Amino acid sequence: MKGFCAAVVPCQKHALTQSARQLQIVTVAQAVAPAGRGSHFSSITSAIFGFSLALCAGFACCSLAAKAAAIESAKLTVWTGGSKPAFVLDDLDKTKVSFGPPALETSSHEVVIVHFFATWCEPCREELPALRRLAERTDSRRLRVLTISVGEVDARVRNFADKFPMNFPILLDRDRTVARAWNVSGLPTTFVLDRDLRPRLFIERDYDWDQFDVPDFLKSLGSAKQSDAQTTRSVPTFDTTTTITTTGGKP
Amino acid sequence: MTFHRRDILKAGASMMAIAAMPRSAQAQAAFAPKPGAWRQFEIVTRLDIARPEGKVQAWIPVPSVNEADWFKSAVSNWTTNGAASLKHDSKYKAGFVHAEWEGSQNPVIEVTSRIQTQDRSIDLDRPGKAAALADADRKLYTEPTSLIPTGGIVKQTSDKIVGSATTDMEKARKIFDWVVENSARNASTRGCGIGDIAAMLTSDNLTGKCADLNALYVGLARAAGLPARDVYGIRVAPSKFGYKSLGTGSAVITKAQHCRAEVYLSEFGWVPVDPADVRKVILEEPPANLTLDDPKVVAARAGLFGSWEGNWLAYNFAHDITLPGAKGPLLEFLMYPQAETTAGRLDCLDPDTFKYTIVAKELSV
Repeated sequence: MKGFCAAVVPCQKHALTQSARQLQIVTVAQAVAPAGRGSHFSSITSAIFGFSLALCAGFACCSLAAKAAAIESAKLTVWTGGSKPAFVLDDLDKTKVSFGPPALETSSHEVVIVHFFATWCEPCREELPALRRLAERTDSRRLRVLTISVGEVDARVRNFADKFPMNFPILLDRDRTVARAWNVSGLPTTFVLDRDLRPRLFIERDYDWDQFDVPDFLKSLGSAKQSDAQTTRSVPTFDTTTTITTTGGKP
Repeated sequence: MTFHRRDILKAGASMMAIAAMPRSAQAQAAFAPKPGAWRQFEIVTRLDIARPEGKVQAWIPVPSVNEADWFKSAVSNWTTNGAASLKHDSKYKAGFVHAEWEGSQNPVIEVTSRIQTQDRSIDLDRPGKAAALADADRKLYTEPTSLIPTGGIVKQTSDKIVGSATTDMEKARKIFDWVVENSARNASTRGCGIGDIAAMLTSDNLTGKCADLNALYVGLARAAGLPARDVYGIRVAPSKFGYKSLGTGSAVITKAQHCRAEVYLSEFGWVPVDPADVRKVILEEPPANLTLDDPKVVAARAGLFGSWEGNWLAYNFAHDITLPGAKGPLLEFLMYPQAETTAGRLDCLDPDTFKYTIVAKELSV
């Protein structure tokens, strides 16, 4: 299955626009295949595999060199672990932002992206504009983006935000407590969660969010749920009351 | 894991190339620190809090390294319009002046330190029997810190670099060469960098400055079982070997902070290394962006495994420092003055809100 990924990803990297989008859909479908089936390489279904082989044949233009380079290129990976712990962090206005229980209201967001970064991290700085564009072109009622600055003083993050304004909250994990609780070992790291705040995808490096499409992702989630239903694998339970809320803060 | 763009085999090949270099060629090296002449410096750190809000505190590092062969920290004094005292962290004995102001209009402190330093060079051709490293020190300098884990991707990377090497010297050298050949100095990195080596390895972005690249060396060495430590300090004088990038340009050294590293080898004791400065030479020495085979780079690379120039002050070896009275989190390392107001910790790299100057002056010994 690694051969499949090595062949497809270069095409994603170099074949832009529609072809790339089609391939991305396949990748997302792969990524949200039912959890608990091992790595993202092994979790793909045989049906997708067949489709993928056809796509690879169609993109034989991808050179070995491009393949080698593109193995490095970012790809979202299915999350096979459990749910992530709740947290409460200040944003730059010292407003408390909560992730997870205690829930005050049911989240209306269908997709939540939790993105760990640092202002000193060059790939992070390069990635954030694409995340901003994703937020801009997506209905804010469907997508919630939370970015978390890891281990930095407020003043430094505030200066960064002044220079590069974002359209989503920047939370302050000053002592890395949340990053540790989420087992974040590198920056940037991003989790894509469903409406129940269950992680579905993750990536431990920068990602081109211009490739990500929320409706496609949701569609693939639906496919995954159907696939779940057709198997006897038990679906992980999660707290349906978890939500993202904002409370308190400056007057 | 994969090694992506980088090829660790290059490290071995380069090491062999350097080893095969004729002695005469190495003798022509323009970078060859040799001990023998102690130099004395006085360093004055002045700190102003531009926008004091409520209670203000500051923590100013003072030299607290004493190594008989290469560095002596003398007493530090200060003047301030607040209250101040000398304190040390309990784990690494890193010294700093802790100053406090209660609603002062213009918090100011000036700390004066004196040090003596000299070139340092280990003859790596003459192994002997160095003083044994105390068990406590061995533990301290092989254990992980918050930003220098020794497991996971760091261990995996270290194992691949070290490969079949059996001696500590071979391991230390392989790691040095790997860092030199696979990292890069990044001019846009603020300050000296952060040193989050797992993040660097995970993101496959091995660029940064001294606190990044030398922390990478330290982490990879510790993961290989070698005691290693960062030495946080500041350059105080120009390089006498003509390397503009490896010294100061004036008496004002406010932005001259520099972290070096050491690795402990049983046949030699603590061995100075500085792969980050090799990358600095590559990036900055005229005409800039030198290649690995440029004579200036070859000389610096040969010298910076086993020797240091005594134009630099060592503050401490400390990581994850608890600043007494601070509201903010642990400090990853103490190389820059720190301060907090009621608004929180100030950005020690932001001259608009946190002004400080550091001036060095050479004195006769």
